Amino acid sequence: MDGAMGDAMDRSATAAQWRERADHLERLARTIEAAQVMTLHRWLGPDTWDMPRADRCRDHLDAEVRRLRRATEELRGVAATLRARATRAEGTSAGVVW
Amino acid sequence: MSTVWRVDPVRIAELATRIRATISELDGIGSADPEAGPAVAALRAATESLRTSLLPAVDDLVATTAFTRAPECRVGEPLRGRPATTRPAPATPAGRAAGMVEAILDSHDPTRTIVRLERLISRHPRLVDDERVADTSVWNRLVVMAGAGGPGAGAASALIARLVAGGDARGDRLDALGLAGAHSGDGVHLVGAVAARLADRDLVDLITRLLDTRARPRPGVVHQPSLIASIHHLLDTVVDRPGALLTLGGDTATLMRLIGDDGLDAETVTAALAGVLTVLGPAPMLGHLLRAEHRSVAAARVGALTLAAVLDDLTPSLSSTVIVLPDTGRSVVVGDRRLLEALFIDIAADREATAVLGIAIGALRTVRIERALDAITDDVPHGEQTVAASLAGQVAGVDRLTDLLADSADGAVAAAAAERATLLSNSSDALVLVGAIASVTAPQVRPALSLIGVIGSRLAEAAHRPSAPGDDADHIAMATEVEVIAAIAATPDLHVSLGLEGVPDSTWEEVRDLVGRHRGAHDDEARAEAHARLMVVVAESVPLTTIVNSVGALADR
Repeated sequence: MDGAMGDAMDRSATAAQWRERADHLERLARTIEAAQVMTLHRWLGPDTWDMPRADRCRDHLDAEVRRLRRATEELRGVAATLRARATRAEGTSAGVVW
Repeated sequence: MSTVWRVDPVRIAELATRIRATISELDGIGSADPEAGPAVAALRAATESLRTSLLPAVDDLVATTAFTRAPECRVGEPLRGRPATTRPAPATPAGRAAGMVEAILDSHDPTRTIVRLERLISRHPRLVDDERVADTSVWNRLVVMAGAGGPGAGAASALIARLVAGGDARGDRLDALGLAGAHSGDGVHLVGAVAARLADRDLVDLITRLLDTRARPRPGVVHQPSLIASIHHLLDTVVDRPGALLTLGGDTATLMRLIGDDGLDAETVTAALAGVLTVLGPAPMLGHLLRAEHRSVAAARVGALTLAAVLDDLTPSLSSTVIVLPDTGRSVVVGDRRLLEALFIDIAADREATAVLGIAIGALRTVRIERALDAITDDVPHGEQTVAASLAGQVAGVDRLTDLLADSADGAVAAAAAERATLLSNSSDALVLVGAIASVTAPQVRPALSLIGVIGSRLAEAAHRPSAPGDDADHIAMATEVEVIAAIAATPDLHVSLGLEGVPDSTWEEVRDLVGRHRGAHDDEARAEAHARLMVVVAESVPLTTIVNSVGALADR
């Protein structure tokens, strides 16, 4: 195997890994979005309890859920970056000049 | 400050379960990818917040509201209830087993959980006596499982019934069930699921507790439609179980409260009454009721129920022991002639009961005439002869019953019979009133019974009012007239039926005002003045005047 072909195979393998990581991060984002914690607030309404402490708990939970939503957006952003990088790597290995 | 803290014990227990499940789920989510670092950090932060902030807050409430009879408190007051989760399990085998219960419940697999719980309890029979088993989150989680349906619901219901039946905590556990039944959503399903598995005594006691809750409404805490639905669930279960019917029949206080609760479905209550009649027999049942408060109302209800049933299947000899209730098709063993006579003797021996029964008979007589007329009107080809024959036949049924009443009473208490005969013969005008009320509800006689009861109890009150100097029959008649006018004024649904739809609202307001003045009058003069003014207002409506005159005639007896 000459050096050029080896470089191309390395880039292809790296692209596959990047895609795999992107898949993994997107799956993680979906898992978080589907987690019970995202809908737990439905059980924290006044029909369950109605008192000042409940308001504070709802606020805390809302803050955590917002943080998790931001995290899933970031995960998708990173996944998109990894896919783009994989595409570029594959383009390079196929002789495409970027 | 009027702010009220409200906690739904069933939902708060469900919330605790869901938080635990969420923590467990979040613990299982992770990633070794460095790019996922911030997301994993957010996950761990959320888990920590749930574990250290939300869950303890909710667990506190679960512990506090379990078995709390009044799960509300005003701001500034401590939450009532018994915190129990902090109590360490005693170092006994049963105590250690009780401590294991919560661990088992943490498995979040309902079917498996129940199987393991039942196995544990079978190994440690005394566990059902241990308060920890039925306390706090353990009990509430069982309640949630039973109420939610699905896997494990049946076993959870059975376990709840077993826990209720055993141990010193029975009362608290029944209260907890009653409280759950007073909440919307799963509470009603819970009561429905558990009802069939409760022992007879527990079933009736649960009804009593729900009636207790109903008698002390707590807006926001008690959901009345759910409470009523739960009571109906339990009554439906009682009707299918002779042992429970017998228990209910012996629980006069609960029976009376069921009879007197107009918010409950009349047919459901009547079916339960009919069931009690079936297993207890009418005379003993009436005997129970006559010893209770508002006995005349009870007599009217039971008497009219029996009469309604008997009239639809009256044989000349009265030898048949089984009748079929016209509205429900339910078979009821009324008893033989001897039992039926005993029933009427009981009634005849009681003046108020007799008066009210007289009203009921009159109502039934009118209903039967109305029914016959309706049938004839609908069936034009029948000639005049048929009309007369049909009417005669309809009325004869009532008259035979009246004769039976007279015979029974004459044989028992001559004086009471004479009084009853006078009552019956002279009360025809009043009977027209109640007959009119009943006829508009025909063929269902029962809805009219509540008003019959109201009027009957008013008559009884008037008759029992302590005599003051100068008190005489006129005073009683006057008071009765006023009370019946008040009852009619307070029942707008009947205005159209009684031909009073033309009476303007302003007149009803004036009537209510004058009734209030009459009741609040401190001397005869003020009372007479209020009555006179009331009569002037009443005179503006011919139908109302007719009704009041009819009632006055009965009260004069």
